[in-house]
Amino acid sequence: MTGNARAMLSDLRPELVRRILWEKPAVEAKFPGRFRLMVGSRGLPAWDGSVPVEGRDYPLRVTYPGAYPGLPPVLTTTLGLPPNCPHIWNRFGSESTICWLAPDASDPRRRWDPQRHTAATAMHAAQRWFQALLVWITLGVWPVPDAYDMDT
Amino acid sequence: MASWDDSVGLEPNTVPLMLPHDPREHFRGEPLVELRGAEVAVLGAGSVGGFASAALAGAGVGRLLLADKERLSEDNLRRHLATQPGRAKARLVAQQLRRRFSGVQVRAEQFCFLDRPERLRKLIAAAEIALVATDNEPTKYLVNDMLFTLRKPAVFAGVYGGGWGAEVILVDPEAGTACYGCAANAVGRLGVVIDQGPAYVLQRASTRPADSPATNGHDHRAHGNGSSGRSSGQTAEPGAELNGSLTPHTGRTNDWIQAGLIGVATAANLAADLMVAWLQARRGWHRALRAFQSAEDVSVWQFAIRRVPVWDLGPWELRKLAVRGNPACPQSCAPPPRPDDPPARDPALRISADSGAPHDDSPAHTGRPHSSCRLLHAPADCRCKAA
Repeated sequence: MTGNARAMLSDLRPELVRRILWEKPAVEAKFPGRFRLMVGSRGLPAWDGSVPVEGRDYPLRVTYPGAYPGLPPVLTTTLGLPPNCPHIWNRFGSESTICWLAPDASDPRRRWDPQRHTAATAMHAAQRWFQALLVWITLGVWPVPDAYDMDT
Repeated sequence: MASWDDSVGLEPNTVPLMLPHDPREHFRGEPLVELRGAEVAVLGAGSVGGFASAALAGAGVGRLLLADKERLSEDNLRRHLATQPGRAKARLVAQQLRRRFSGVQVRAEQFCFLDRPERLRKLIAAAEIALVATDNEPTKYLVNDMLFTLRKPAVFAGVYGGGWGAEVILVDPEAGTACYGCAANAVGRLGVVIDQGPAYVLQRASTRPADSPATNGHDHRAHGNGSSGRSSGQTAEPGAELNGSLTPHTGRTNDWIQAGLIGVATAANLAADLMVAWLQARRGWHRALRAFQSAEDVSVWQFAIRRVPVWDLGPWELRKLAVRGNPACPQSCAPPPRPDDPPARDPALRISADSGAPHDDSPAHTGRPHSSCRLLHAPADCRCKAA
């Protein structure tokens, strides 16, 4: 954790700090050395780094919303994406927000579960998203449903 | 009649009546536990929050902090305490309370809890106990998180099963209850639906096929939070859709019917009574809370007015559930292990071994009632008397 990250954590709600610290081992275990905690552009805490997919690193930022963990993390990438790329929530400049959760998923396995899921879960979902992107670029078909099955 | 040993040195008829029409004058045989100094935060001034606020004020709670982001709509009128569409719900309820209960101090705020979590936190910190009567799960999990840093209690109230099931959950970090997340998992609500549908509506029987996926008993779109959530396994009551006063909420006219005041008032009164019992216990009179709980670890109450299939309950049945926190809970709400508990798996090792999320496979999360005692745990873990 950088010195700026430590300073940033001191400005946050105590429960958000506690939550981030609780999740830190999971992130470091799942993606060792790939992410660092920092302050995002809107003053929100975020993990910034990359996920490996097919031998290549794909940039990813996992931002904690202010109402975390009630709301899931927001996944953004600075990877240049085709204009017609599906499953993009929105674009802002060079940054695209990945759609990784169906907002009203009826299947509990496709829902954000604050009791069980962490930023590491979101990072794994992003990996899957990038894999699907590669298939789409190659074959023109998005191979998986929108929402990530959290239990895979 | 209550024993005076249960009270904190209170004598009958010595506590001054604070209201012009104080209902407590009809219960002079019982000890009067003064709640004028109690401060309660009501998060969500919708149907449940509004009526619960009135019940709390009527029970003598002296200070209420109401908060809700929404304005009253025409659709709400059939089950809401307030009567003026277009105005902020919290302010309308506050007006009603001041008009009816001259001794109560009420403050109303209008803001979105998810947009302003710091402001929400201040409300919870200022109160002795909070009522969470919001209509969305994200807010409940956000509040749940705050309760454990602030060490404050809350009662989560909701209407389920198409409006015919009332559920309240007591979360009290100081008393060691399970957190809201563990309790919700225990009753079978897994995860958060981010963008929920309209208020606890019933679909017309004629528009939904009998084998619709929505009849799955574990369809957790039936999140009747506050007054919200689709029905699960409920078909419309015969004749209910003929009520000309019903206004479809979603714009999908003739498809959805909203349930009404009966379920709302039940949930509101159950929540208010529990909160009053908690406040009384904090002031030395424990009888009411003991009557509520009746067994160690009881922190969830479900009451079905009609048959609620997803609960396998009703009509007119009350279920009390004892829930133990999951050892891997982010709030660390699990009690210390008992000598005969199975060995707990190290949550840190589980985190590293899977997708990054701790798993909640403890007995409290089986989601199915144990047939002998109807509590939500595996038979091997049952320490209750058989029903």
